[in-house]
Amino acid sequence: MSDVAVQSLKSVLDQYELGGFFDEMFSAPHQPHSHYQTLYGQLSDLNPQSFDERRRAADASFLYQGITFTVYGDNDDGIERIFPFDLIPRIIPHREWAVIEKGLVQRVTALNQFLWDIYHDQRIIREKRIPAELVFGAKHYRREMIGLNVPQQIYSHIIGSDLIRDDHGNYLVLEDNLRSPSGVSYMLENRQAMKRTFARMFARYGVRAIDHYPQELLNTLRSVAPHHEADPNVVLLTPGIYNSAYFEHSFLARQMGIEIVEGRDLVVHDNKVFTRTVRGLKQVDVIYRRIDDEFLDPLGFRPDSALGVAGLLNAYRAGNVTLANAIGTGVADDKAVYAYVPDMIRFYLDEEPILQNVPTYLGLRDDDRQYMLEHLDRLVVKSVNESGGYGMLIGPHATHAEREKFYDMIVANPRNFIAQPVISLSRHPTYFDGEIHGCHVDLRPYILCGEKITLVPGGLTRVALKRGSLVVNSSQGGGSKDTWVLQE
Amino acid sequence: MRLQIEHTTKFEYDMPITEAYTEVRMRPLNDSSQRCQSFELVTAPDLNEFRYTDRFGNDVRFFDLISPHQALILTAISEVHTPASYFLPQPDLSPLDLHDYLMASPLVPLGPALNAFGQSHKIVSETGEIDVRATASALMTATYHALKYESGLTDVSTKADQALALGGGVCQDFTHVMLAACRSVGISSRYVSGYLYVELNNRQPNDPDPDLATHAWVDVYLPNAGWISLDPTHNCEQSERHIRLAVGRDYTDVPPTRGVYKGNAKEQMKVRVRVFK
Repeated sequence: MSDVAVQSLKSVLDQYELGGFFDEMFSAPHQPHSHYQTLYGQLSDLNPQSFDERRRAADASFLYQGITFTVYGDNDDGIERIFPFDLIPRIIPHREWAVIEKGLVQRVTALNQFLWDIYHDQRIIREKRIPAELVFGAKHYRREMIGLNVPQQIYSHIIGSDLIRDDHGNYLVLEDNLRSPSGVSYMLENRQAMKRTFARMFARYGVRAIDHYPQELLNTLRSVAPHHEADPNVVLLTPGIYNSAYFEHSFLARQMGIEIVEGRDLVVHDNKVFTRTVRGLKQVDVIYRRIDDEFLDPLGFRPDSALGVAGLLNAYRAGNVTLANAIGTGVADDKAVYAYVPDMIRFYLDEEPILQNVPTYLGLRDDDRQYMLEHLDRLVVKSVNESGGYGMLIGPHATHAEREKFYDMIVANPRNFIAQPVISLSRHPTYFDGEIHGCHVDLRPYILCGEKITLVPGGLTRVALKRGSLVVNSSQGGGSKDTWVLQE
Repeated sequence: MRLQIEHTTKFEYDMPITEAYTEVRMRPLNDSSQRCQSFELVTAPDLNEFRYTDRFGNDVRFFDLISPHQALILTAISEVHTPASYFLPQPDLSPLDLHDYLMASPLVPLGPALNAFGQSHKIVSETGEIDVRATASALMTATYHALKYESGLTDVSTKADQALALGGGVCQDFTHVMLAACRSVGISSRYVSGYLYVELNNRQPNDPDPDLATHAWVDVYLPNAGWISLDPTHNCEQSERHIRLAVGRDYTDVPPTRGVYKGNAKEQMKVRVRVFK
C-alpha cells in the first residue's frame, strides 16, 4: 500500500483549527459534540479521494439540473454561478431545534399582528412603543394597504428568518425576511444531493424529513384563499426567466403542481383575476407572487411596470384574490424596525422573546447615533433597506476612506442606518481546496403562516466560503450545506 | 347653496387600445358640512362599475375595458348642497395622518426656499406657541401675492418649489405652495380637489374657465378641533361656491381620473366641467 492510499480524512480533520470561535462540530480539538460523534467517525473512515469523487458528483448534478443563481456587481451585469454545496452537513439536536421553532412561531405571530396594526388601528404607535416616523417613513410602508383586510389577518405567509450563533452558541435573529425569502429550493436540493451521496450515513442518523415542504407551502397558500374556496386555484407569479431566483420559482411551481405565470398571463376583469388559457379565462384565487410590491400593478403602483397586472390591487382590496405575501410586509424588514421586534412580542403577545435580536444601534436615536459615529471601526453598519449583503460597512475590515463615506452618509440621513457589534458567527468544518476549514455559517429556517404556523425542521445553512468572511449571502460568494435536525 | 355639476371626460386614441383600467374620483364628498345629494357616473360604452373608499375617505369608482376600443367617455353628474361657511370637526388625527400632513409629499417637497417662505409668515402667540389659524391665514395671503395666476406656465407634475421659483401657476400650484409653507411651520394641512361655481356674468380674476370649473385649495387642521378650508388662489375661505371632491397629501392622491392601457396609441383627453346653480 502506498502512503496516499492509507491516508484517511481523519488526518485532515485532525489538522482542523477552532480558531477561537464557537464551532458547530467540535467542543475542543479532536472532540466533536455528542450529536456529531457518528458523523465524525464516518468522515474519519473515508479516504480523501473517495470524498472528492462524491463531491464532484454532487456538483455535477447541481450544474446539470441548472441550480444556479445570478450575482450582481457594480456594473449590473449578472453572472450565473452554481451555488456551492458542501458535503459536510450541519447537525442540530432536537432540543435546540425545539427552542428555535418555538421562538420563530412567537416572532412571526407578533410580526403579523404588527403588520395588521400599522395598517389599521396603529395602536403600537399611539401607545408610543415605536416612533411613528420609523414606520411611516419606511420605504416599504404601503399606504395603499390602509384599512384593507386580508384573509385571517395574515400578511406574511412565507418567512425566512436568518439566525446566527454568537461565540457562546446562542442563536440570535439577524433579520426577518417577510417579503419573498428565497433559497428554499437549495434546502430541498441539498437534501436530495446528500441522500444520493451519503445514503448509509443518513440511515444511521435519525434525520427529520423536509421533503414535504412544497406540500406544506401549497396547503398554506390554499388555506388563505378568499371565501374559503373549496378547491382554490393557486398560481405562482414570477418576474420571468431573467430574475435571479427564476430557478426557484419554476422548481416550486413544479413541486406544488401549480401554474407558473408572468404578469402578461393574467388579466383582471370585473374586479377578478384570471389566467388566460386556450379554453378562455380561468379565475385565480391565490397568487404566490415573487414580484416586488411596486411592480405588481401599474394602476396601483408604478405606471411604468411591465411585470405586473393592471387592476390587481383593486381585486385584492375587494377580497377576490389573495396575495402571498401581502403587499406592504417589507416595512417589517426595515432594519431599524427590526430593532423593535422584541418590543412587538411584549406588546402584542405579552410574552418575553424566546430568541434574542442582535444588539442594534439606530441612527434615529441621538445616543445611538453618537455611539455609531464614534465607533465605526468596531461596528457593522447597514443601510436599512438593502439586503443580500449590499450597502454595508464592516468597520474592522474597512478602509479609512470607506468609514469616512459611511460617516457622512449617516450624518446626512440618520434614519437610514443602523449599526451592530461584529458578531463572531459560529463556524462549521467545510471542505474546499482539498482541506477542511472552519467557515462561518448562518441558518435560514422557513416559516409558513396559514391556518396554522408550520416549519419544516432545519432550513438553509449558508456558509461563507471566503476565508475569514462573515458574509454568507449567495450573492457575496457564499455556499450552503444540508441541515439535519435530529429526531428526539 | 344647491349646485349641480356635469363633469365630462373624453379619452380618444388614434389607434385601438386594449385592457384599459380607469379609476375615477368624481363623487363630491359627503360630510357634516357639505352634503352630496346625488351622484351618477355614466360610461360610454356601458361598463360594470366597482367602487371603494380610499384611505382619505374619498369615493373611488373603477372599471375595465378589455376589448379593443378607440374612445371612452365618462360623464359624472352630481348635486350638492354647500354650506355658507365650512368647518369640519375632527377632534384628533390618526398617527398616520398626523405624520403625512406634516411631511413632504411627492409634489410638496420641503426645501429651504419654501421653508423660509413659511417661517417668514409664522405668527406666534404671547405664550410663544404658534397661532395656527392666524399663521395659516397669513400664509394664504402671502401665497396669493407670491404667485401670479397664469395658465400654461406649469403642468400637473409641477412641484411646489418650482412653482414658487416661477412665481406663477394655477390653483394646483397655489395650493402646493401654501401646503409646503404650512407644513414647514408645523401646521398639518392637506390638498382639496374640487369645483368652483363661477357666475357667467361675474367672473373674478383667478377664476377658472367656466367650461373647466375644476379647482383646488387647502384644508388646515386646528389641533383638537377640526379642519378649516382656505383658498390661496382667491385669498379667501372656502365659500358656498366651493365644492369638495377629494382630499389627500397633494394632487397625486386625488386626480379625477387615473388609468393605464395596453397599446401604442396616442391618447387625447378632453375635459369639460360645468357647474350650475
